[in-house]
Order: sequence, then structure tokens, then C-alpha cells
Amino acid sequence: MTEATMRVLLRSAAACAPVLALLALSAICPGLAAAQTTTTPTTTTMSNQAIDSNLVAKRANKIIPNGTLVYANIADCGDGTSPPTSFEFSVNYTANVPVAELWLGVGANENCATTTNRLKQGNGTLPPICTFLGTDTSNSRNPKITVPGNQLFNQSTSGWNNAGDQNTTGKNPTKDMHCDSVSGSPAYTVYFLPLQTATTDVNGSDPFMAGVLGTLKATFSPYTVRPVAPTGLTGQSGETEIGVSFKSPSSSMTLTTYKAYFDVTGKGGTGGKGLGGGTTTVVDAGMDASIDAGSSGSLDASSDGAIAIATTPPVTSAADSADAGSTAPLACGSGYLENHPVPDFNLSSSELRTATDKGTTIKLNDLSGVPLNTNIAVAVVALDPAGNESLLSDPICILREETIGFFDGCKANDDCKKGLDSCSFSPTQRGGAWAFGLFSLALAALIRRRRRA
Amino acid sequence: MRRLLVLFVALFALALVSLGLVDSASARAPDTFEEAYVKPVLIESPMWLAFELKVGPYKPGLSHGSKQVFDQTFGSKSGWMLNLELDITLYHIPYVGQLNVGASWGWVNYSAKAFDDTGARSGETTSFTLYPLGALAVLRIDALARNTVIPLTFAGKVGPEWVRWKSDTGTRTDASGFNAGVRFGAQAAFELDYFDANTARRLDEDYGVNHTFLLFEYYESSTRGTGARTFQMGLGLQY
Repeated sequence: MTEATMRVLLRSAAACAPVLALLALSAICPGLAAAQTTTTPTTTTMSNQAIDSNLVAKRANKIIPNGTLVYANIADCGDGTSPPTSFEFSVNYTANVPVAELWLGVGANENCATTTNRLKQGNGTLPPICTFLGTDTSNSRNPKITVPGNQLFNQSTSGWNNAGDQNTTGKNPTKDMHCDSVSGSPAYTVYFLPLQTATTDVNGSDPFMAGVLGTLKATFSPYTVRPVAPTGLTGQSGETEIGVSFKSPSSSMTLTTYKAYFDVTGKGGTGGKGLGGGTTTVVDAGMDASIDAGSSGSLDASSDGAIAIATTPPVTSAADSADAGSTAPLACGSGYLENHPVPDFNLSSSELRTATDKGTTIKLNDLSGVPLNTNIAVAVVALDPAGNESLLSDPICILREETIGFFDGCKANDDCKKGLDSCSFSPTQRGGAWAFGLFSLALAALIRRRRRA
Repeated sequence: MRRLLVLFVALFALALVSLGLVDSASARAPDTFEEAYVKPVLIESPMWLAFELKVGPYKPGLSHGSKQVFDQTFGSKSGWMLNLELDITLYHIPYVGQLNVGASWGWVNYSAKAFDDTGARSGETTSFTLYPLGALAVLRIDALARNTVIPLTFAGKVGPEWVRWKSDTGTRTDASGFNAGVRFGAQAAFELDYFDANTARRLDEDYGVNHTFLLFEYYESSTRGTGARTFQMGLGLQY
């Protein structure tokens, strides 16, 4: 074989190598070869899609600010009287999207961008790993999906996994409408997926996401379990301020602050009934409590990347009206805390005052309008990062009384009073002043003499 | 015999002269570094300031009445006063020390639970805070430390003092005022240069700190109602 022939053969082999490799792969993995040859979508409506704007998330119609972490709380799950908070997710695309779906993954292992996590398991008999939340099949450029809070934070596998399940009888919708019991972890992540076809009812196929669109995610930190109330309250009486100290609950739940409620009406006095009567609401693990939703944040979309949404926790959150566990009469009698649900922010602050602290002692220094010798009933709640309040602690009464400080005692003593007049001069000051004056003169003379020398 | 004696004397004289010549011959140029080394004269950086940080027990009230009230409210123990002083040298007295003028600022606070009508302690806190301010003439004598191996210096201080005081109960300010008087002080200090002269030298070269010292000072304030006789300890710098 001549050298020229060798060169031709080598060049041919180099040119044919990719084809040969592909044929070899096709023999080993027919599916892989097929996917490799169908990387480009054939439908024109979803080709070259691009995101026109970020994923917009709303909580109760308020946009969640970009870069905020959403602390969902018990109020988002609703109770028997108040509906759950509505969460809306939407994205603007440059072209129509046939199907948009919203999926829920809990923890780091449930990545709903992975197709297999969205497919039914067990040959179709078991629901997918991820939880289906909703779909938009309007084939529009601005798909929107709205879910209630009790579905958003519910990964129950007994329902909600197929489109229309929430309206299907026999799926135990009442049970399914309760949020999971979580306290900040794991993270709940929703995935907004633009798809060619719906995936919830597909069994065994392998649908794909079209074009260059990426999965958009939003992460929540839900606190749907009520904190435990503090115990062991002790009071500090005073004239200008009163204080209450307590023991932190032994729960491992993350607590941010404590809030004390002070009934300054003094209607309790000593003796009489304590809390436990009146209008009480039985709380089932915090799910039925009436709590206001807090402030919201917004989401920032990024392609195939986690979107961290962090915000300050909700500012206000209501606690339940009664300590259901306390039925025995208490020394701190009937007053505002018993007869009104707490908190009731529609009422005057002259009757109910609050103070918060991160430590286990809270002081109230606004005692304006409160007469001396008033027994003030105090109860304390614990707050978690989402603003959920615990039940009220057992209350105590703290007396606003006249106090005698150091200077009051000094005024009563004539000798002490002379020493602490507003402007007092020592008897030795005159002699000292003379000595200091003479010293200064001598010093000046010395310095002057040295300069002359 | 006489000749022998003259010869002996001449030989002896010759021997002495010879030794002198040898001695003069041994006063040669130094052959080694150690022979040529002359200890350098140390020159300190200018020294015009002194700074002192002191703490000490303090219990105000020189009169019987105020002492009684104080003990009843805050107990018989003294509080701790923090005191800062800055002196400026007016004149270096040769072989003696420095004549300075200085200013001092102090702080001490006492707190306890206030009483209720029955005489029992309530939950509210009452406090008494003093801020002594002084203008001082200071004579600092460092002759021992400069001229001997004894690293001790001494200082005498005198000057007017004003004590700003305030008494609170809860969130209420009960009273406040100014007490004036005279302050006296006598100090003994131990210079830390003694332990490590090289480090002390470097401190001077790099930062201008001439001397550091541990001090013990007798403190007397004659301000009425807020004065006391006590002692203070601390750390000082001269630079």
C-alpha cells in the first residue's frame, strides 16, 4: 500500500468516525440515539421561546418582592371561618405556551424539573414524587396559576395530584385541605414549567420542555405549627414600668420574639375567674386559628436555578383567644384578656397594651392613664419567624404601685439632702481653691523665670 | 657596693621604663568589634503627655446621713469607678520630673430595686450615677527611674473637681445636679520598662510611647454628698 493510499484511507476514517460512532450507539441505546436526533422542537409555537419578564408571585394579590424568603404561616392555610391565602404565579413569554404547570417539591430530593418526578409511579397506581398544584392550558403568552395556601403547603399524596382532583368526590378533600405540619424546614419549592403537553396524566411517556425555557422556581419556608406558650410567669411591680419574666418553652421550634399582652383596665383585681371561660376557640394544632397574613415578598426568576425569596417575617399575627388548657380559676381575675379574643386590634390601646422582646423579660413602660394600685393582668405568647403566635400563657397580675427610689430616701434625710442639692459646694472648696490659686501663681512665675533664663 | 646599688637602681628604673613602653605599646588600635564598640547614647523621643486608665472602689457620701441612705438602698458594698486622666507636661524639671496640668473623667453607677409603701423591694430599679470631672495640677517625680535602677515614679495631684450626678427610678429621672469640691491624689507607679528595655525602646521608636507603668493612687474627693476617700489602680502611658 502506497503512502498516498494510506493518507486517503486515514482521511476517510476521520470523516466517517462520527457516523460510525452514532451507528454504534444506536445499536446499544436506541432511545438515546432517538433523543439525540430530536433535540429541536418541531412545533413553531414553542420554538425559540424566551422569558419576557421574571416569574411574578403574588400572595393575597400582593407581589412578593424580589429576593425575599417567604415565611408562610398558619393564616395562609385558612381556618373554618377565614379562607386560605391565595398565591398566584405568572410569567410573560415572548410566544404562546401550550401548557404551563405548577408543581410542588418538598426538600432537596424532590426536584420537579426532573421529568420522572412528575410521572406516576408503580405503573400508574401511585402518585408522582412531586405534587401537582395546577395548570394553565390557555395557550397564552402569560399563563397564570393560582393555588390556595392549604394546597400550596400540602404534599399529601391522597389527592390533588391530577387535574380536577380537588373537585372529585372520594378524594377526601376535607382532609386534603389541611396544610402539612412543618416548622420552617424542609423548604417547599414550587416549579413553574412551560410544557408542550400536560404531564399529569401521561403514563410512561417522556414529555419534554420546549425550547430554551428553563424551570422557574420559588421557595417557601412554611411555619404551620403553632409555637408552644411560655410558662412560669413572674411579675415585677413598679410605678413607671412593670415587667414580666418567664421561661422559654422547651420546644425545639425556632422562636424569634415574645409578646406580652397587658390588660390595663384593671377590671380583674385579685380573685375571681381567670381565663378559660368566655369565647374560646378550640385549636387543632394551629390549623383553625384566625391569624392575619403578614407581609409578602416577590420572586426572581432564573433559568434552572433556585430562586431564593427572603423577606422579613410578617409583622402582625393574631393569637387564639383562649388558653384551652387552663380551666381552673386564677388569682388574676376576670378582665380584658378573658372577655376579648387576643389580639383584637380594633380596640383601643388604652385597654390592651403590648410589648415585645427577644429575651425572657418584657417590660411595659407606657403606664399613662393607669391609676396607681391597679392590678394589670399579663399573658405572654411566643412568636415564630412566620409570625405565628402561641396560645396565651397562664396569666398573672402585676400591680402598678408607688415606689420609693434612692433620691426619695435622700430627701427624707436632711443631711443627705444638703449633699445632693441641685448645686452643692464642698466646705473645703474655698481652701482648696486658694491652694490651687497659689499653686498656679507659683507655676506661672517659674515658667516666666525659665523663659528669661 | 655603692656602684652595685647605683647599678641596681638604674636597672630597676630601666625595667620600669621598659614596662611603661610595653604598656604604651599595648594601647594599640582595637583588633576586635568588642574592643571598638562604644555603647550608644539612648535618646528618647520628646515626652509631653501622659494618659492613665484607672479603676477602683468608690462609695460616695462623706456625711453620716447620706451614707445611711446609700447603704439602705444600695447595700454596704462599694461600686467600681472607671477613671480616665490625660496630663500635659508644662515643664520638665531637670533631674526631678515633670510639672503637668491634667483633666480627668470618671464614671460609677449604683442600682438596686426601689421600695414600695410597705418597705419591701418592688420590681422597679432605682439608680445613682456619678460623673466626676477634675482639673489637676500634677507633679510627677521620676528621678529614681531615670537615674537609678529603681523603676518607681511618684506623683502628687490637686485641683478642683465637679461631680455630675443623676438619680433615676424606673424610667423617671428623680433628680440631677452638680457638686463641686477639691480633689487630691498621691500616686506611686512601677515602670514596665524594667522588664523589657528593648521592647520599651521599640515602643518609643515606633509609637512614641516613652514609658508604660502600673499605678496605684490614693484618691480623695471632697465634694459634698458625692465625695469619698478611696484608692485606684491602673495602667499609664507617657508619650
